[in-house]
Amino acid sequence: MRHLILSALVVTGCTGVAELSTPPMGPGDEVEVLDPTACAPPPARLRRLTPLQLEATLEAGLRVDDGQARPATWQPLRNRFNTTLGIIGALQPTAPETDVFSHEANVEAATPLFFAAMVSQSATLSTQALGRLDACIAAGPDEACVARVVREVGARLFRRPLSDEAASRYLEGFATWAATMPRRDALALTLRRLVLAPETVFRFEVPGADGRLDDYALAEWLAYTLTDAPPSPALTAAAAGGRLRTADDLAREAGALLSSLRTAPALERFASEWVPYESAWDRRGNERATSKPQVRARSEAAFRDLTSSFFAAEPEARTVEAWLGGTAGWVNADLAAWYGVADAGVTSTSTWARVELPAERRGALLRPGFLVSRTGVTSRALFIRDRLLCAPLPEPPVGVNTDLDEVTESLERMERRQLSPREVRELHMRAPSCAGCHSMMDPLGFPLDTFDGEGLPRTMLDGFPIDPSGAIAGTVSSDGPVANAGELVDRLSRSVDVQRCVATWAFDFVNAEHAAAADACALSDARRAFVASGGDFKALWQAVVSQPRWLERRPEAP
Amino acid sequence: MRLGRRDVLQALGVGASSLLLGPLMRGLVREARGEPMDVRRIIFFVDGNGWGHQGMARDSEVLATTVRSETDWDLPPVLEPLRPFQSELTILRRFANGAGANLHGNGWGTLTCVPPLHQPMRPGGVSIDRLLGARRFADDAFPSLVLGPSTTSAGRSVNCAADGAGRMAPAFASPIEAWRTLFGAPVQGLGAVEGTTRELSLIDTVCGDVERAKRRLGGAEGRKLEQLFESCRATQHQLSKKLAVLQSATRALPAAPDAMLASVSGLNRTLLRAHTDLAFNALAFGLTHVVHLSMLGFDAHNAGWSDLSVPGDAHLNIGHATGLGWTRAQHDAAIGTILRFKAAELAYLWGRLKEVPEAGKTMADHTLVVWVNSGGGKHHDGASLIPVVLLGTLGGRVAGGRYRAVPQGQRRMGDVFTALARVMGVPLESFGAPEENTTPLELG
Repeated sequence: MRHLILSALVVTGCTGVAELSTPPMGPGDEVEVLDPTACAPPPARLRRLTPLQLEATLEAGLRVDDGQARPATWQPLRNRFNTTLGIIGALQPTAPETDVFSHEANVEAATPLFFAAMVSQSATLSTQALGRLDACIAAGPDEACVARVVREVGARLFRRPLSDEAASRYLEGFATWAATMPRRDALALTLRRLVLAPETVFRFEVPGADGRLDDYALAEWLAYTLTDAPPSPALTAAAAGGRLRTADDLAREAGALLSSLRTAPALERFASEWVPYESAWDRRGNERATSKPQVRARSEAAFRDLTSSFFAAEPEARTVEAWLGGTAGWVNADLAAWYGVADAGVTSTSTWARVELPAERRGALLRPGFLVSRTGVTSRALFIRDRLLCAPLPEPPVGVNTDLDEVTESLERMERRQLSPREVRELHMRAPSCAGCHSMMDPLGFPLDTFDGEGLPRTMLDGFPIDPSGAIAGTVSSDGPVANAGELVDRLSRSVDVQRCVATWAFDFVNAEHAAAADACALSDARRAFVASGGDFKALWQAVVSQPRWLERRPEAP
Repeated sequence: MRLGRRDVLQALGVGASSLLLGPLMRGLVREARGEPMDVRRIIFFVDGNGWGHQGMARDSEVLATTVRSETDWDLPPVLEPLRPFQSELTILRRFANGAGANLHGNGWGTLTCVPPLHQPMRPGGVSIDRLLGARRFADDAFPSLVLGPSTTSAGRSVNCAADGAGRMAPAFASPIEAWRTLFGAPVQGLGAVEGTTRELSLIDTVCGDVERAKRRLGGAEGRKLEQLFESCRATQHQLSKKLAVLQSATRALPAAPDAMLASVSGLNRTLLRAHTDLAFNALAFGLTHVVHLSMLGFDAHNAGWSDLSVPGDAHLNIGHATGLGWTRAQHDAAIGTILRFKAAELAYLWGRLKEVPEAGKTMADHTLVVWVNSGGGKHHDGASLIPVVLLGTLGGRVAGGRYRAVPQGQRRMGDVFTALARVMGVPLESFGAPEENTTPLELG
């Protein structure tokens, strides 16, 4: 629904009249947005760092890590919940409810649960940090040592140099503590105070009097957006040197980040939140195949293939067409055997190789990461409409009977094997109360019914041959019948509708909240850039984050 | 009973091994002065996966027994460890809770009587334990305390406690961390009082930093800092109360749990006992009056009872009765073993409470235990006819020795929780969603 409304606003020239019946925009023909309020900078925001961002920030700020070199290549199976500092594991249960992306702004910020976890973790982290920060600490830190540590750690945690006033405040606090306890203990408390400071926990996207973000705020906005981590020393140096003041500066720095592995965590998160892996149980309590451990392990591995591996590991070869229609894939030993790929060169579930998969497994929609996570005709179709076409359908109206068998009054006949499951659904589609939505989604899901709940191909269902034909409906440029699953994914992989939709999700990710009327210009520009690039993800990210609008923030209404 | 000043001093000397702490002593002094004692505590003993396996959980035969009258009944065999306390037991059966009707994640519905939020699964409202703590014991170091091991992956709650819609309550899955927070120093190597004093000093300073930052920003964004400030103040309050308790303790604080428990998880007897002991000590030292002791009060997908020589995992094999090829009798035996263990753990806790004198009686006389089960919803057939076991009379406010099976489908869990709130001194008209209430149960 969020994208339906915005599409309508763009189409109608931001008149503020949302016509939900308006179809999605056409192929690349973004209209000129006339309403100046649609081109406003984003609002001032206070953003609490996510657990992933806090982990990276504290690791960098306190120089605490596991002492092992970071891998030179991306590891698709990185376990986020078992990272070195334990921050993510400690904070993850406190993650608030969000619509799609976990860093969206309108969420609960700093609950008692969050604060308690931070206090607890800060004790452990400060102890670890004392041994790593500076040789002077071990000898019993003198004034110069403490001052240096406080300024350096403070600058890293706050992502900007400490003001003299702030430095004095922290050093006075140290002195007070040092009067009653060993100096090393006092320094540990001072480090914890820095960890728990609002400047560490939050990002202040607050403009100056000229409406602009300062260079350091821009650096951290760019870094957290594209890397889920604080600014690198190079980016911080750019901010300090005044080389982060224009859209071109943003484009330059974004290009450097996007050509490195630094963007892997953020892009992996984008992918896994945009294409969420569904749980083992559906909303009605029905068990999915993923409740079987072996199926779950395989489908989770395949899910990583279509999210983290693709988006994080191959920065130069990421296009919508490759994602939805390409045969390249990442496999571990289990997946290689399941796909029947010989000579993959992997011997365990923890080693990975990039291979060419058979054509019948081309693209994300024909692999178990998707097929096991969403098993039914309707759920698979709903995903495509929502996440790939940005044409979601509303929830069934209150009071509408959603029981397929009751609606079609066909249960008895189906049980006697008189109707195929497809025929039951087609009956359903003709029911007046169901036709409006199901005619838009079921034909989209029929072709994928040639794969069962474990992602295995099938030709028969309940004793009937499966009719793999279907159709795409309700789009501008992609409508039409498809003969089978292969045709469906080929059509979608080259669809401008899909490119525009993916650009919308990417924009939301950068915007960190639902795109609204004031974002219409920027969203339109992002879509245009993505379509012009032929659906190239690197071009998309670079285009979105280098828009001039990000240089400013509009003051919050009182 | 009236106590004189001499009696109090005598009790402190003679009974030093049984007189635990300052709060109790202050209670005795208050009573010695003729001031009324009104101590009420409540323990939610929360179980998971239904009272029995699938099919059996439907008003489970587990609690079926010969009932001659409401006050004349045989103890169900699985409650045998509680036989010494049968006169203090109340068995309630056939209460429905539609809020927990659907999925496992609806475990939150167990104590909220409100359907949970979906995507991601979050509680739909405040749970009864947290509500009682906030309403009646807000001045405690821990208005309510949630303890219990976790076997689920990160991102999923391990208990049914909630502070409101979308807000899971903080819980201690590790007894070592819980002990450190309740009785120890936040930093290793310091005594509890010194460590807590330092921690309080840190939090005081941090709260000052947050207050200073608040001035930078107003409006809706500024309220995020206000929330951080309130969270900081809550920690400040907790630490200052804890410090007061530590400083007034008249005997040694409980020792830290065995460090080896750091590597133990799931349904392990030693681990569960450590949580039980922490629950007792937190109550006895006056750190809280409301404990939520989660014996895997959620779904325990990955846990098993091998520690009790019961094979299989608690969820699929035992909860769903699938996978092991067991006969019904074998399942019954397994369920019986598990429930008797839990009853024994409860008997142990109750026994400890009975050992502590309080206002002429014992702590147990001022405590009520509520044994409930998250049931797993319809997924485990456990939402429509829910049994509850109460232990304790709360100074005569609960009749005890009763077996009450209400007519099927006529009463809701909201009726039970409203009644519990009332006997705890929190006058509720109803609890949770309106449809989960009829009329409050009479417990007296």
